[in-house]
Amino acid sequence: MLIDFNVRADTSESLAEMLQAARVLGFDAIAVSNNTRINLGKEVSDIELLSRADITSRSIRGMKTQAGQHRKRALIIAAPLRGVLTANWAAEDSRVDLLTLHTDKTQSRLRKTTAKLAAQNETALEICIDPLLHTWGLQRSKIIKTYREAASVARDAGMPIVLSSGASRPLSLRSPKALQFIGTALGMRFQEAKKAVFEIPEAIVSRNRHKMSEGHIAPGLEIVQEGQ
Amino acid sequence: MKMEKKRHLLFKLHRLGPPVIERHLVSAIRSSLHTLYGEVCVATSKLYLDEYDSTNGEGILQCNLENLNEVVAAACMLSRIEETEVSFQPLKLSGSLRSLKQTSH
Repeated sequence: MLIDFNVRADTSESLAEMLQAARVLGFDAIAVSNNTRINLGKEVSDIELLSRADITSRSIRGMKTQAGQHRKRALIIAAPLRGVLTANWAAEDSRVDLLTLHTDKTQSRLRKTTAKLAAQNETALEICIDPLLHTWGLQRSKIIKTYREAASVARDAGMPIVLSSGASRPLSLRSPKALQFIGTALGMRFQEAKKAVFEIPEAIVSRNRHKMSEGHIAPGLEIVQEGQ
Repeated sequence: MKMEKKRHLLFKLHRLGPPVIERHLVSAIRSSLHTLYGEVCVATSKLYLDEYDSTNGEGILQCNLENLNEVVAAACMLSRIEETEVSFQPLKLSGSLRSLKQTSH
């Protein structure tokens, strides 16, 4: 199952365009942030629409509240990589699936300690390629530097990496194979980039689907058969 | 002199706007490659377009195996060529042109 974890659509029309483009590029599913007012439950085309929630609060308390609110509704929960404390909390919290890297290094830096915590909890580093497509020259080289450093720290700590488009226009979407090649420009080995596009997103979705299933109570504890 | 291995890539250029002509496409890929990886990479990549249909955007490009990842990454990072918004999609990779032609036709 090929999934683009970060697609942005503000209206039903733009969502329909995104779905069509994703199908042409070979995706089986796309995840759209449910912060928008679009009814995501609607069946559209043969592409599966997954709900994603982005934590927006800047305080740990607010982030905890949002994570609790979103967990039962959204299949994927992403938290931005900002300060040390909030990043470490997000890396440790099993409800958070992705730590999204910001393009500005001063705001978004992946520390070794955060990466190690994230690796223990299988929280993945999300790298969106959209800023690379719409910048040029020195500005783009700064973004590439931030991305390469974060990817290197994540790899050394054993933290999984997810490559997503972060696209808000259909032509900003890239096919899974294209994302893999772009991953190599971010210092990832070809096989690592392949895993970041073809394997890790699917693993996160199936893990969360299992968590959200009726029989699941806690990690390692689930109802296999109900008593009479 | 050691023979350099080549690779051929079948691709599709999705676009919004007027068709992109062959000369502009090659120039844009070379320019992107130059910006990302530098002059040496452009010189050693031996990038050529074997075939290209500007109406449907399908084509085959050829480059050195050694610089394949760089060339395709540079092409995938193109977002605009002249006045046309584009998205480069790599479809199939092969060592021989013949097998790719069979796939594309």
